[in-house]
Amino acid sequence: MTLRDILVRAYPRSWRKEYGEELAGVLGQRALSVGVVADVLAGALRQHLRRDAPWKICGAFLFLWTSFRLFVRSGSTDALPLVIFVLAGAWTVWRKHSGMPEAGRAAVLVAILSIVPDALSLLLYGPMPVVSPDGAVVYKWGAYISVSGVIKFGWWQYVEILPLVLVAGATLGFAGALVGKFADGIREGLRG
Amino acid sequence: MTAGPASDPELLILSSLAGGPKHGYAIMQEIALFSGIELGPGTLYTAITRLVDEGWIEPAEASGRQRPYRLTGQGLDYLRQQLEKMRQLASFGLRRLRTA
Repeated sequence: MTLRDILVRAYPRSWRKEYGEELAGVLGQRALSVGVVADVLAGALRQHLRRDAPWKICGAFLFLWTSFRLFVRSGSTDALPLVIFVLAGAWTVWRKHSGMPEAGRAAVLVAILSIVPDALSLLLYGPMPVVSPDGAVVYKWGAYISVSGVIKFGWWQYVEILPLVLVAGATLGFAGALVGKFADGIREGLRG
Repeated sequence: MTAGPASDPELLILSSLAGGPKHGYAIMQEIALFSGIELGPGTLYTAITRLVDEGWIEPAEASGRQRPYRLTGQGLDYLRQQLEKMRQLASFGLRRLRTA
């Protein structure tokens, strides 16, 4: 597989069906400088943002974010997943004019994707020690004893437990749906 | 060349297609000739996708691997409107410069 093939394959499949062969033709007629590669990758990212389902984009982002946090062994509180659950719900409603169930489903799928790195890590390596904000060593899937000797339960540890993550995902997805419906109403009002 | 209304990829493509149907690579070459702007393939196809979605251009019959595009009536109207706005802006700016 050549670099040109890889660049074309970076685009969503639905886009490639329509334009993939043409793009490959244009890429075949010019040298692939760093600038051209960056330009094509930026174009691929834009098409993914335009065409992919919001849950896929939000889920991929959170998957990478969770992996990164696992990699750096971060133990700080992280509210980003919750914000992304709301965003997934709102975006689904905004993009597809869909209802609450679809927004909740989208947020749940995002939630599932977001815990995959943790679940894999747990299966492969067992509980992963990370450093909490107060300097204590924390095992991500359980309670931990802080440096002052007190047993602590960080809320972020709880939301990574599957059932709670799913409930949080669905609830926040519904909240996102309300935001999306409100925004959609304003958009329709402006059009009308 | 710095960015500005005259470097908008979509307007550049529409202006190029106003001279007749062309495929992607020919559009890039012509834009480089008449504006000095070298559109990257990613930028070109992002703009082409949007123009097709808006109904301002449409694919013509394919000749081999490359598919030419042509302006639609809507695209022609849009291009006229945009160029007229640019002409008004340019003449206003030039008048102001003369009196400055």
